[in-house]
Amino acid sequence: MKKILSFLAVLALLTALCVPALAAEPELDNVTDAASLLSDQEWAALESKAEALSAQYECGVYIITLDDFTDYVNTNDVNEAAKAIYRAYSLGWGAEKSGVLLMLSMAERDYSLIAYGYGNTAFTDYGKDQLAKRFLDNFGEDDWYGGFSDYLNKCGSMLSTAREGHPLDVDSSPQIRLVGILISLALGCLAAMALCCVLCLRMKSVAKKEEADSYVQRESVQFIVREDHFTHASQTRTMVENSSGGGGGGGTTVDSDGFSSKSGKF
Amino acid sequence: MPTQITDYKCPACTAPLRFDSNTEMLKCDYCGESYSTAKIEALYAEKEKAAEAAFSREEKKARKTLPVSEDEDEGGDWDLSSLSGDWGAEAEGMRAYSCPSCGAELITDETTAATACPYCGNNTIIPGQFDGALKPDYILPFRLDKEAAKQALKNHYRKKPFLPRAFSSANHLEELKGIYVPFWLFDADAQADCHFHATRSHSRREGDYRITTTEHFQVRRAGSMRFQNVPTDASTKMPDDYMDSIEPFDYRDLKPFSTAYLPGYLADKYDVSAEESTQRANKRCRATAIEVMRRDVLGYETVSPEGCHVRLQGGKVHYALMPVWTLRTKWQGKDYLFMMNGQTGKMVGDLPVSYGKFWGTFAALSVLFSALALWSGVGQWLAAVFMA
Repeated sequence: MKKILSFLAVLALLTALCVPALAAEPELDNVTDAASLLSDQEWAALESKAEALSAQYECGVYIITLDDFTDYVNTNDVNEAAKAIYRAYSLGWGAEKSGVLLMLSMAERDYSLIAYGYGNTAFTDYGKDQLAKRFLDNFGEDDWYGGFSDYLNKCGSMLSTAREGHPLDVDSSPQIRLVGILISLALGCLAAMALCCVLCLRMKSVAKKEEADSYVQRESVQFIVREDHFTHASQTRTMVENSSGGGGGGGTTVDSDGFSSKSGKF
Repeated sequence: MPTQITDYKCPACTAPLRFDSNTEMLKCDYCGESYSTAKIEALYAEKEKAAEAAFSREEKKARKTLPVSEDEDEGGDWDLSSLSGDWGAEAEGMRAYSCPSCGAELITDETTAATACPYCGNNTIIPGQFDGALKPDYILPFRLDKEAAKQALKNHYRKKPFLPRAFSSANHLEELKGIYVPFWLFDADAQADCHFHATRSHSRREGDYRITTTEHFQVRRAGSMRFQNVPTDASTKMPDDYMDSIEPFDYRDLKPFSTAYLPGYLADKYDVSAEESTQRANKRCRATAIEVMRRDVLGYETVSPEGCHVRLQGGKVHYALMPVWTLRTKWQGKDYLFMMNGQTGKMVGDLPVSYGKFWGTFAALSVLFSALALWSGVGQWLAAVFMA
């Protein structure tokens, strides 16, 4: 049953991407496991939960797994691929097409987390970071069901608080809020002390001179040796967090196409 | 023992002359006449010899008349036993002169070369201090007068937010003196050979990694340069840091030395020899030679010296007098010394800090910057980055 569903999902994806304009209603289940990561029972449990969340909060909650997103979309950007699929299948709730989609591409172990419509309100940049933290540890251990369950649970709590008018954001956590205030105070004090020290230095104008720069006859300076020898090269590799958005002051960074997104490796 | 001293007097009215920094002439404040330094020098060249002879005669005469017979003294029986008979060790560093104007005895230290009589205000020069090998090669005449020094001090107080308000309003100048300070001016040729380790790096992105490649270079620069007139003050009375801080002087105005520039100002002869000053001059030249080599290493992101060899070949050393205004103020029982370059007007001197103002400003700025950090969300962002 699961295999058949997976095959149909792949077929549907390929077909729909060819005729995106025809789609008006969501044409995919909330959970589409084209990479066959889940058992039938797991899929059913997740699908039912995602459907319930979508209906309860009027915001579509989706999961898509693919073997390789480049098979479906002509782009190397996993976020752009997720957006293309979201649009092609007319995903999202209601006229606003509100929703949140977690897409996994197994070839390079890429993930993309995108939101649209009300999803942008409920899933802020900070919220997406928190959401990603929930599932990445599971995915790192190939615990797909655990990761998706955590994703849905966190989506539920985030949609709940968002509907109450308090979407999860930087200032949502009392601990972070407190530390943020303390850091702001510390930064303020440090900047003030630095400026005061600079002003204090202006009170001192007496110091011994250690150089005789003013007394060099510029025309007398002659170089007889100028040698620059390359000796060796060294390399450092630094992991780059592949995430878009990330506005430090909170809120959601929305692209010109109306999506907000976050991506990375798992 | 009094020694002969010279005061330049107006040939027209015999009142004392002083060097006017604005006109660079010797001016008589009484009749208003002005004379060029060359004219007065020529006039006094002959007079000095006659004055020396006259002074010797007066001295001999005075010696003869000094002893007073005890019979003639009808004063009381004063007990003079507690008075010290001599100045002790201090006498070695002191000299006594007679003011040619009022006859008062002037006590100065052994390096004083020009001074003013505290009784009659007559400007007097002690030529013996600048004779023979002690004669300066150059003198840089004062270009700025006393009023300019006072104004410069006022300007020095401006835009100093931590200066106690009472300091500028309540304190008064205790002393304002124009002094010709002895300097040694060193010429030197420097040859520097320096090795540096330099790096430059570039980054590219490969997948999820930023690859930073750092290229390392061994760089060598060798060359030569000439230093001219590197100054070191030759008076122990003048603090080295103050003298360094009022630099630079514009040497284009250097004149061959003449005592005609001295009236109206104090002057000292050197008491730090050229040999003793060489070390300081060499140190400064060496540091600059290395820096010149360092500045030629271009196109790198980091440059660190690995070794430098600097060879200095000493050239001529000149002895010059430089114009310095010293201003002394007192506030809350503490002396504050300021000095001004008498040619360029550069004023230096450390000022007191009002801790009330300091902490008040700190508190106000802390509130302002903290509010800005809170408003901009920087603190929240940092907290989220480090805690999320």
